[in-house]
Amino acid sequence: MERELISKKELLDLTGISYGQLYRWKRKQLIPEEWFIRKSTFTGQETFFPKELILSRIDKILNMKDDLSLDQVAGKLSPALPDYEMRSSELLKRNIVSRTALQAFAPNDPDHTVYTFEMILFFYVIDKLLEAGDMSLEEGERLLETLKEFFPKFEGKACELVFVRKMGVSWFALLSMPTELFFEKGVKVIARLSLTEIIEELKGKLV
Amino acid sequence: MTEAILPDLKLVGTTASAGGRFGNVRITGEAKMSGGLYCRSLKCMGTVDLDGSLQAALLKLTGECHVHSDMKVSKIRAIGQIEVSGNLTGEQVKITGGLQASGNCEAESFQVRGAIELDGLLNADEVDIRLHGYSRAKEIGGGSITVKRSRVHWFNTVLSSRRERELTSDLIEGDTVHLEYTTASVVRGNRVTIGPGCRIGRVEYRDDLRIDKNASVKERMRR
Repeated sequence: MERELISKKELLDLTGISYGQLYRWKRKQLIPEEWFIRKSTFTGQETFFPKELILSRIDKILNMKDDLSLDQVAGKLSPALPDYEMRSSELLKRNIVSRTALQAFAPNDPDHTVYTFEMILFFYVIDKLLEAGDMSLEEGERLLETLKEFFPKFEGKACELVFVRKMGVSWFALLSMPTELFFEKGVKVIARLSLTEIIEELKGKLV
Repeated sequence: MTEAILPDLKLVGTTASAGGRFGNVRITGEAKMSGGLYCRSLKCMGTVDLDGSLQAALLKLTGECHVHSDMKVSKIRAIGQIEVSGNLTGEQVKITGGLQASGNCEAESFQVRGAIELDGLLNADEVDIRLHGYSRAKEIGGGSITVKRSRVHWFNTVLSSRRERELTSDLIEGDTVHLEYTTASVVRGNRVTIGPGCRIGRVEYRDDLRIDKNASVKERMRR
């Protein structure tokens, strides 16, 4: 899955923002360092960005910056997990996690259990895949184990979840971004999710 | 940060300290710190040598400051020399003298009268450099970038720099760019002014380009 890149020049033309703004956002860590990809071109070095990611990010910043200060925007976008907890009943009420998922993966927790942001994130990811019909409940359980065990190791660094299947056998992997990954023939990539983006999405829903 | 309970520190003469967390730090003379320093303000007349990182809200310096790691200071007012073996992060940086950094340099406003030697990227909303000595930076990016040769000549002898008062950089990129006595491979900007003594490989501009007759530009491109 080759990611489409966009050069800095094209980006500025497309979005209408200025160099100053781009650099300021980088300084404020609204745009992560690892998105600045340096490549040699025939005119020397140029900076490129992952197209989808950067365009949606800039869109988000432009939308948010009218109401919020840049520092507040940075807080919303940073991959660090917020200190946010929520009761399971609240999660259900606000339609963040489905009842099926909660019942399947946390059957013994009473209704008023308080979940950390990390747990909510795991449930949210699993729920997403279940709902899309990509994953069975049994696989979801394995995914939950994987996330619980390895996700904390990323310590807030950008992280991606890969879910592939070949001849009916499925497996999960967590990768640090940005990575290029190639599979042998016959491997079907069922889902590739940027957890960083999901964290953002989830933050938007919770707050 | 629980600022109220942090103790102040005063060092006079030739001193050594382990560093640590402080409120206001005042150094007169020569101080050597074997660890990092985290403080509200650091005021130094003389030399300070930090074997670790420096984090402060304010740095006021007359003399020399060596930091053997990263430096994160919101407001820098310095006369003299600053050497950082890492990244320099600040908001308002104003230096009269020299700045050397092995990493990147980031600030909101970056004003230097003197010389800079940066191995990494210089990134600030407003970059204003008055050249008193040979300067270099790998890349400069920001909102408005101004590089001029200083008109004050006596200062040059103080810095004892025999080399030419020029700036060399691979890439300079900003919305408004004004350059003098600068050598760069690529300059990009909306409004670009190439002043005397510049040698530029390629200029890419959007709105406006002015080139002095004493400058050489190999290639120009409007986009």
